[in-house]
Amino acid sequence: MVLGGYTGKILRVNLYEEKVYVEALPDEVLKKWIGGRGLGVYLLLKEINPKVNPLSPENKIILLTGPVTGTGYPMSGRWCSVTKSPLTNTVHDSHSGGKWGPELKFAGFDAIIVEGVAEKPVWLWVHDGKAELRCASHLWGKDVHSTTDMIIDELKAEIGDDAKNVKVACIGPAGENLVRFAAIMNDKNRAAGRGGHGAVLGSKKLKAIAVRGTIKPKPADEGAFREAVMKAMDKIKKSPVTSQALPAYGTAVLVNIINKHGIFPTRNFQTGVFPGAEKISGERMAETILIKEKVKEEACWGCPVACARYTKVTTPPWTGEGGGPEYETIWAFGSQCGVDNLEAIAKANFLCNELGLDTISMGHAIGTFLELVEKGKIPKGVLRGLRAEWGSLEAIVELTWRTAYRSGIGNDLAEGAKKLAEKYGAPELAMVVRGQELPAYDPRGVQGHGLGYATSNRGGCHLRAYLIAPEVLGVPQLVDRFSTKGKPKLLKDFQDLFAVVDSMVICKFSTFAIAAEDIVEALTAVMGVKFTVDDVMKIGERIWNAERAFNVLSFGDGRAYDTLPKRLLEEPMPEGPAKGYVVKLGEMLDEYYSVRGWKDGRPTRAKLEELGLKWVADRLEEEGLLPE
Amino acid sequence: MKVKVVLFSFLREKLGWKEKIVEVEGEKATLEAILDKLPDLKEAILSSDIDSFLILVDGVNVRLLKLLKTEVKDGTEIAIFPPGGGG
Repeated sequence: MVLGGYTGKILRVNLYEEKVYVEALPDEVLKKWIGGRGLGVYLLLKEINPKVNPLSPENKIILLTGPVTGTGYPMSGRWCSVTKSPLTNTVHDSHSGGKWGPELKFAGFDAIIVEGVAEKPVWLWVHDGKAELRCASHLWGKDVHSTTDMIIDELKAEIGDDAKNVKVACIGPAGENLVRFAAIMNDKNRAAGRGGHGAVLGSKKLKAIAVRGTIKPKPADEGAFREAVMKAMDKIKKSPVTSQALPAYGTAVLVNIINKHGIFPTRNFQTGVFPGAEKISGERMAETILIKEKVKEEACWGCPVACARYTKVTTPPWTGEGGGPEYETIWAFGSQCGVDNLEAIAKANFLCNELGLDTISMGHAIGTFLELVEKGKIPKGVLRGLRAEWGSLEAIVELTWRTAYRSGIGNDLAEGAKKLAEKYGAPELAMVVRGQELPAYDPRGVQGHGLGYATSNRGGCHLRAYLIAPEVLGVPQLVDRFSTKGKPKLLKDFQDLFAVVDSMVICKFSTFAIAAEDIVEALTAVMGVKFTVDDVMKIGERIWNAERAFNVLSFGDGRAYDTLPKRLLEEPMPEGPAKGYVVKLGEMLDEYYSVRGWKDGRPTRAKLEELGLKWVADRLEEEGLLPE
Repeated sequence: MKVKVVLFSFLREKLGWKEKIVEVEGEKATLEAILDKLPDLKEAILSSDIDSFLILVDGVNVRLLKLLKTEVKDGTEIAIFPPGGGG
């Protein structure tokens, strides 16, 4: 019996054999892991040795939808990739919007597991319940936009006009060149950006996955589902965040908000106040480079919010156009690099999309590099005359393409900020957690968010638990961002709920409008399984614990890794509203472990068995990694 | 004393200005007193759900201070945002 919302089928692609297999998804697994991130984590734990080299043929990468994908539930036009990351060595899920996710569901599959390595570059064509591998030698080397166009052209000859409805996910030169933060791009401008999933595909020589189909998923209880949809739509329309701010300004609305709170990381987290913030804000974008008419087209499948941007720059030498830039991108190429020119930032953003690079890690690493230069750590010759200083517009653009092609200093940047800083003798300048570059919020002015960074299973990440919502935006309720009180429990709740959100797969921005009760209602109606809030939070907790267990098996994750760069723990914020603060991690970490039922950052047997993960506890024990 | 009031996002379109310097008598004043000097802004905030606005006094949310009774002094910056969000 197939649970509602799913196709019930997984596509397994064996690249050694160049064969595809269709497998069933057991209901019992779906009830415990839902889909998306949760299902991906479960499958990876079952199928790979957590110690594998992420860029070796023994790693697997799974592209997934969830039960809600493609059903018409608002903000469900997303998909995710799960793999062992070459940047963090953790289990890692990377999410993307656009239109590819629902189309995979329509093509007849809930997920695609990719294993092994192909002899020569291939691409995968998935349509109407079938799949086949095709030669991609002519696509290898091509950028994301060209690859997409060429595949659609190729299919036009076979399926005629319907080819324009094909959705393509692919890697660009960055993924082919195994850049550790290479993205999987879909629908040209959308990115499963963080964690280097593009490099994993590159290592397997899988260039692209094109999907097309018309098989509509069916919720188990159509009546209850329609009601859940209407309720959610109503809440989305009522929330000013989802109904006004995001549609009008996109995520870029945050630039001024975060800067005025004094937590806009500037010049590699040296301070939290950037004088040029207004010039690179969402407000400025709306007045200058935004192409409003194209915003709806750029939106995720069926989304009522349409926060996506489409911009065009006509000022030389930064002329270009495309999707974005998002808040994080503006930060990464902006204040992180001391840059206050929105047009140059947009250009760097367009390049990242075309070359297949995570904008957060890319811009962040450039900022790391600029501080290394500032502190005299980079030998002059290495720059080849490039003006690599704070605010250099040409540097943010040049270093982007150099990284994608591992050209010159780009080869070092391609390894990520951590390895870059280590190579040049200043590891303390890498603002990373578990090897992943921190994003656009300085945690010294947001204590709970700082704890979230430190404990994130996938490395430096603001979305495992977006505590910016309560601590800064006041959603659902304002809490004191300077206090550590109550933050560990608050963080756990957000982390667990968001794990479920990532498994359904729906957009986290929905949580500005809907709450856990709504999520429960949606899952119950779609899957036809009666869930309570407690059930759903338990599923999230299970996913979170499984991820941590994978990491423990992978590299001995635990307390030593639940930390932050020295700068954020010991150097007080020098100016602004958060002046004088550091992250008071010591005040929160032990309480977090207590709330999680962990010891020194590792799940105990009791906790794992409580979550039905005895098999995971046994594995940890076998390797002497289970805490007493 | 003089304070700066700065507006963001669609408040700018709604009221037609981005920032204003407000001058009041004395060395201290409440946020409320400042808003009284800007009737269009006061109306925009109070006619909507005031809880949904982000009002910062020198970067600190007034809900952590004394709301409309929060004290401002010479050189204070009051930043007002309609609700925003993102990633």
